[in-house]
Amino acid sequence: MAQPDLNATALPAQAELQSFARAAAHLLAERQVRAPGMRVVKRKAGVGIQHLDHRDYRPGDEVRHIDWRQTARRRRPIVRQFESESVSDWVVMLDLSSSMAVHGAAKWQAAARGAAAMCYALLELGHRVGLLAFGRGVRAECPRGRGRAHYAGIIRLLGSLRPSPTGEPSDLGACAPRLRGDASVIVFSDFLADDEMRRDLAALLERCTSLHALQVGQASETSLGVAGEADLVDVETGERLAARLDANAVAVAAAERAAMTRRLRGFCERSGIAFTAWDVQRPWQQMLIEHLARARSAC
Amino acid sequence: MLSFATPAWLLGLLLVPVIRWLHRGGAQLRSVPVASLALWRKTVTAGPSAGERRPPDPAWRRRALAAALLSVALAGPRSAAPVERLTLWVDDSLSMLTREAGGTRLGTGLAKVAAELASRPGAEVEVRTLGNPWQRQDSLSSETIAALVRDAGQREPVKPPAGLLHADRRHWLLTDGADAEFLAAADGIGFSRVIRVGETTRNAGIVRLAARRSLGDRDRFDVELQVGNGGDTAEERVAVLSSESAEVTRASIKLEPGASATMSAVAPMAAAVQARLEPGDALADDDTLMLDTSALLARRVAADPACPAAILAALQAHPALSVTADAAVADLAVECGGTGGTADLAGMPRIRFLRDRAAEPFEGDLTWSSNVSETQRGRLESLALRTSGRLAPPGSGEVLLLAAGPMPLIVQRRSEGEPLIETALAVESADRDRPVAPLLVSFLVDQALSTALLDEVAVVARDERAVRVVPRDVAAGAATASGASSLQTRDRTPPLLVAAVLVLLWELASLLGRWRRERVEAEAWSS
Repeated sequence: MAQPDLNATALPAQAELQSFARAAAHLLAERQVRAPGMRVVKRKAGVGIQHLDHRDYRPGDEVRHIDWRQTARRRRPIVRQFESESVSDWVVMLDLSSSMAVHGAAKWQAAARGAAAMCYALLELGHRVGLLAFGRGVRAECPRGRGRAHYAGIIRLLGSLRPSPTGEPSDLGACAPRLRGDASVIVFSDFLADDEMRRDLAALLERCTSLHALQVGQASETSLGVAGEADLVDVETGERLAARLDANAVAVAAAERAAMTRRLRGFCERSGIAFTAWDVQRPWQQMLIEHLARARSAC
Repeated sequence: MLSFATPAWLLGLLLVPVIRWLHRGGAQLRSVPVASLALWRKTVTAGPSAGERRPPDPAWRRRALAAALLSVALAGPRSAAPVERLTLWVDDSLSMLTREAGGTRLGTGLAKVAAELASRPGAEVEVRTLGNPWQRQDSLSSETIAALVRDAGQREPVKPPAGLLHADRRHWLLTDGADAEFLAAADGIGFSRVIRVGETTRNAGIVRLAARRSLGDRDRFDVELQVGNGGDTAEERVAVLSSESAEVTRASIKLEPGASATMSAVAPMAAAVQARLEPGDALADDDTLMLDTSALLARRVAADPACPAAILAALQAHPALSVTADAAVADLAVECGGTGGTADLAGMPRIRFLRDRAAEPFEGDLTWSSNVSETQRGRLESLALRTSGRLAPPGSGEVLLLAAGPMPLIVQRRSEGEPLIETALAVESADRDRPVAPLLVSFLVDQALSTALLDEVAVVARDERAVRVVPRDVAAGAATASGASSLQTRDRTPPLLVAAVLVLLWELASLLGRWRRERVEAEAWSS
């Protein structure tokens, strides 16, 4: 099997990112994007920059947080309280399994582009963004951070990632233990697994504030361009299956793929996960905007 | 009929069912990588899991064929086909050159055989002559016929060697049957076919022509001519003897059938003598005979003027010698201790007489070298020999021809590669009635020239059978080559090997094509 050329991961240009960030800003303005059925997370005080409330000074409080005007007015030490920033943390999870590398790694390219764009837009809005790449386990991680320097680190990490052409299965569940604190999660994956990774998504949902699932797919997954008898090889497991490839077989495979997408979509709707099936032939900007808009309206 | 040189290789045929079994899983399919097999499990699979038995990989036939061809080829198959193998024995004796209506017997016979062989295109023919059986021609082509006619008449037929009478071949004989001795010797061979040619029954031919120096006249030869009648009728011929185109003599000869006659004559000394019979007959080749007598011409001797008169007289009286004053053309030099005349004759045989004292008798018994014949010894021992000098003993590589006790009398030395005969014997005889010089000089000359000059004879002769031309019928025997249908074994390995190589090349091309196709598909997929 030829090794796909994965070296040239074409990430979006700066202009494209800025344009996308501007378009997505209002969709991401509300910190907490809620999908139908998701649980409500109250705003709470914590470390952050957004002013939430005032309270009396207690020993140990930062002196620089004393609100001197309120202190003068109330004649006792009053300190500012800030809205906890944990709800504004985002973790982008990127599928690095071998199934993302087939057919010229178009799915991987699209997922990497989408992840970079989402990171840029979120960082532009001041969120903390982290990145997790998973395959058989967590293959790479970029801790959450802010600012353009952090984006540069994410880009460097994205540029260094390559999906293994063979033998790398998907284990999204391995990312769940890495989620610490409240965070919203965006998963870019083809969700090609026996249960469409529903069990892993459920595990993630337990640990995150909100969950977005973007299923990356492409038509050539089921139209192999080969006719006649062939030995189909699962790039992730190496399992083989002798099949007679014809129009009927392609139609059956496409139907199965559609059925998998349907099952996953239904699960997401029931679980409050924002779900979008993304055909890589469509522009990533359009797909991401549609996804954010759909998630916001649902919220 | 098919046979095998090493049948054990045929066990390789057992590979055929093994190859069939190894290909039971069907054709090796192209590997197509997919993102997930889960998408394709509901497609109609081509394997046993689909409930149907896949046909074996069609390539098994090609591979089994290659294995079978190789096994059979290595077994060394041989087929025995009834191919006629024929040896034509051609009588190329002189009598086959007898000219008759339509040409010589040999030419007519060969044309007859060639016409007969033309009707047997599959026959493998080899041609041998009875005169030189070991020389073989591979076919009876026009070139072969021309060569046979050109070389005929040189030798009389001999019985074919048993080693050449292969039992797996038919043996044909082309002859005129004129040589009864050959026919008797070849009676047991049993030629499967005898092509007899010849009708003429009359011939007289010259059998022998010899010449020697006339001892009475040093300028003439004594010539002897033998003529034979090889026919079945009494013949009368005129024998003409000529020397250098000048007729010497002629005589009429009457010959009874099978008889021969001898005619003697004296011919002037010349380089050649020719004899011919008149009138000619059907076999012209035996009607003339040429004798080269150049070897009998007198040898030129350069004599030292200092030699005593007895030596010079002996040289001049020798029938085979002529004394010459021109030393440059001399064949032999005689030295007697003088400084003139022969001093520059190095490089030719020489005789040197030692004459450093007066002749005196010697004591002791004569001892001869084994190189000297009894006749020559007797001639010299009958003389009253004396010595006139003292010879140095022979050195390495030199031959002591005669000694008297410890004293050497005649020594053969080498000088510049040529013999140098030195003698201490005196030429002056104590007995006036028995002169020493003639016999001593003759002996020394014979030793120097390594020949017996007075006994030289020039002879040219042909076998007496050569003039016999009366054809006789020869019965074909109960062919020893009973293999009337000789089987020729042919090796069938090469075509099988070629076929196996072609099948292997086919397999190689198939694998190469598959590799290229898969590579193109992989590149297309990866792009």
